[in-house]
Amino acid sequence: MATLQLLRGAEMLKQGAEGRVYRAEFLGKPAVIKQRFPKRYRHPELDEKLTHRRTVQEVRSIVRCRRAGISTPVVYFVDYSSSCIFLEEIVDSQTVRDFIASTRLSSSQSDPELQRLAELTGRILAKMHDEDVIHGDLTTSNMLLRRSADSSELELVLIDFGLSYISALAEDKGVDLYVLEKAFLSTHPNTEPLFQQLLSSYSASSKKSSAVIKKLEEVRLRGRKRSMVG
Amino acid sequence: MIIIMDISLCFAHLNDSKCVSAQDLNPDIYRRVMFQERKEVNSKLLCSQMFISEAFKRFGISHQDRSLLVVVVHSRDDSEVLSHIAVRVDGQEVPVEEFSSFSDPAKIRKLYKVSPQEEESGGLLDAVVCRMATKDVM
Repeated sequence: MATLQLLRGAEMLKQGAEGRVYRAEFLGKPAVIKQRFPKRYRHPELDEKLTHRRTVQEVRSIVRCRRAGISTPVVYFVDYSSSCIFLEEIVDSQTVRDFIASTRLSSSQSDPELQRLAELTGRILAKMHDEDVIHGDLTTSNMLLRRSADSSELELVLIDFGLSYISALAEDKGVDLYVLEKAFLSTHPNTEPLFQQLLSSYSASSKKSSAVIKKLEEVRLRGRKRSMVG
Repeated sequence: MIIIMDISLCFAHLNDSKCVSAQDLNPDIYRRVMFQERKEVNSKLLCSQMFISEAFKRFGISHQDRSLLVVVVHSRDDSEVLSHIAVRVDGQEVPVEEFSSFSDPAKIRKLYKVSPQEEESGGLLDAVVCRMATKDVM
């Protein structure tokens, strides 16, 4: 079968609990293939439905984000029978994590580049939540920075929508931000002011933000990753 | 876009002003060849789906069309197909690289409902490729 054949020649990048990620060329372009493999510990019918649903959710979230003008990898192809998603491989980029780490080595938190990054990130996350897309795994490793060819402007690309879904609930958006906050502050110690800037930018960019920030504050009081819905 | 296969030949006609570039056809062709491989289509038509008439409506040919794109899906050793087609079309062959000069971005935007912010951030080609890849679930 064509997809599996392609995978055999591809380079495996990593394997997680959900599936494997490969790198290959797809129709001449550098691509990333995300495969959700069947879980034998699950009942087969249930496994098929769950895997399919997650694949669909991932794809829908990406397309929704793109429609709103958020940069994400392009979806090249989806093979539902093997639950493989073929995505654009983002080249010439750096994770936000590395960017923050390297910038902090040479300057302080108030570095204008970092401030710009915080402002940009807050704005884009606001846009994403306004589209009712919950990323599900917001970390600074799941955000890439690319300099656009024409200017030296920073472009933020969101990746890894494997845990994402559609929801209008402020609770879910609040948890999404909380996940980022925990990841951000633990990866980059003593960056509370920077993250606060991100949140300010978020608030300023979204009309629905006050409900979300309120939920974020509630979640902070509760503890880690607790959605009290469902 | 559809690819029609009859028993001896395999080609399709398109109004190519609705395609951005040769590149954006590839994912869709790949998808349809995959269906064929898996025999998900139970007739000799490579793409015998309900959407044929709709596809023709959206992409089809009219007498005013000055340019024509023919997509041929054939096995590597079967090159006779190309000469069959050349005979049936009255026109001048143009290299595939010049494709983009025939495409009409306004029509594409309208057909695929590409928002201005999407086009600005990712470009028209990527927007179309994404839609083709995900149309089953959107």
